[in-house]
Amino acid sequence: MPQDEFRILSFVNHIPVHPRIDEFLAETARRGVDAVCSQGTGMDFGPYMLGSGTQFTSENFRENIRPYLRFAKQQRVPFVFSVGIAGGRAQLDECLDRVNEITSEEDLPLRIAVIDGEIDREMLAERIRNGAQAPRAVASPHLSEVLTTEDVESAEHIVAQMGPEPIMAALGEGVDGVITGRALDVGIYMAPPLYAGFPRGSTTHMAKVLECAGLALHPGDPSEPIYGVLEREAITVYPVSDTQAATARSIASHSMYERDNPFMEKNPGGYLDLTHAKYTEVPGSGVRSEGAIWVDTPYTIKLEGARREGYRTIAVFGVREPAFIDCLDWFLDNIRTTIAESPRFGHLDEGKQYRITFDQYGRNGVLGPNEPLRGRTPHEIGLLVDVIAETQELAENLAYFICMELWIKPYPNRQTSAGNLATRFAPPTINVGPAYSFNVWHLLEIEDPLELFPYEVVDFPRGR
Amino acid sequence: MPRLRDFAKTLRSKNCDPFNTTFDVFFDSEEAYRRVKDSGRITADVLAPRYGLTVDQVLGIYFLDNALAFKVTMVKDIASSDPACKDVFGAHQHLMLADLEIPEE
Repeated sequence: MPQDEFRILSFVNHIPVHPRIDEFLAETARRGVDAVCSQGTGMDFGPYMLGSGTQFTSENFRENIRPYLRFAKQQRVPFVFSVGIAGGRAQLDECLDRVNEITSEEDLPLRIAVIDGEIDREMLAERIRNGAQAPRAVASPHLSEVLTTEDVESAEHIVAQMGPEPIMAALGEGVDGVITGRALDVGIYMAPPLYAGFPRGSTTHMAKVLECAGLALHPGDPSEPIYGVLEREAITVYPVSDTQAATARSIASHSMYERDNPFMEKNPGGYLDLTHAKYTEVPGSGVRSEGAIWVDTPYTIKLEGARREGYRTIAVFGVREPAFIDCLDWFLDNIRTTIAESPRFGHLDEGKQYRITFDQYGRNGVLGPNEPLRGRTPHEIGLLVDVIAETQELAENLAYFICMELWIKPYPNRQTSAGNLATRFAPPTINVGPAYSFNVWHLLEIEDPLELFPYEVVDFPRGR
Repeated sequence: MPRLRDFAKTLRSKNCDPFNTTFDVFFDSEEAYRRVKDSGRITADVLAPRYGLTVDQVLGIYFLDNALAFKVTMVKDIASSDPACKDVFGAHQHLMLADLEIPEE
């Protein structure tokens, strides 16, 4: 007899572990569960981590997943986690080292299928040379209309959002769980029920509601888990914590969170049409929804790549003297001119070899020229000096030059001849390292959803 | 003159990708929702100049009568892909929308 319900516990794995986690897991065990799913990849944080192969502290990741790994094993249900923020190979490897620590410390042997989300650049360039056309996913002038071999070669790393199919294939190995690099968020939650034979429309809708855990509840807090019950044609979602509730409003609004179109959730191989989805509150602080429809389209995966734009040095100052605030814009313009005309830096091409940004927090620092209150004079300004240049040495030297100008150069009506402004750090310049942009944000059509994402089954702890 | 923030319950902005921002506005009452929807102020012509955009850079405006909500999607004036972006998540772009004047009926 086919299963008539599929129950998923969802959390977000790069958020700190919740202090009441033991209570939440006991409550979930009482209700029963069929899979534990968690997303931990995303490009919300900009291109830096993808470009540099870094992530947020993976110790936080380890402590967050520890109780969930124990729980999934105790309940004998699979876990599916995407890990490592940008989810490239370096980040995946670091997270797997953390998993290895847990399984070793807890004496918790786990057989895990691992799926890499990083795309081999040479393979991708070869596909393009052989005629593959990958259009940009967003009509932005920052992106080539169609992905070029030059884009691919200049990217430091390229990842792809795998769909649910590679995870389903891995689940077929009878593993304790699946850990992926970069993956489609909803695919993490779709794979176990699709593998169990549930239909794609309701499965995808539940996945969309569960993907940010307690953020879909009221009050929204993604550090709390969320619990979903999938039926063949309906979904019902519940909080796990007694401090949250699912409301028709919170679930309907999360269904359109971070999406350009509230009625359409685009995925590899199709989209979810939410035009006719209805939301009803049910006992237990839950919300039930029906009416989501899956529509097939060609199978495309999103590629994401980051290119290095240079190296960054910053400096932070406070400006409180009214006479200096009065002429600060003029003063900062003068610094640019002085640099452009200086014997040391005058031969450099501004905009190409270096770029200087002055942000005045307290005066249009957040909204820039769109600030509705522009024109007001503040009593205090936080000044951020941001230099990006083709080498770290050049960025540091330009930033230091700017700091000296800010400290000592005269301005009209100056009374403060011992220093123009307050310095937050000494030394004033902070080398931040490389800076990146997204230069790959394109859609690649593939024939077989599995072709770029083979899995490898690994026994943890490794080397026993 | 009252502003959109005086009528809305929730008024949020967030990247929908590194190049575009999406805005979700929710209302507590049918009356507040209708007042804003029927004001004729939620249009690309009104919003684009407030965000330093051209009209065609306002990519979509959707009213959801059942949810008492509307959504607007626009190009980010500085992409979060740009190392000089001042709002990487796009979480503080709602302000120009929040300050939009909604004329008396």
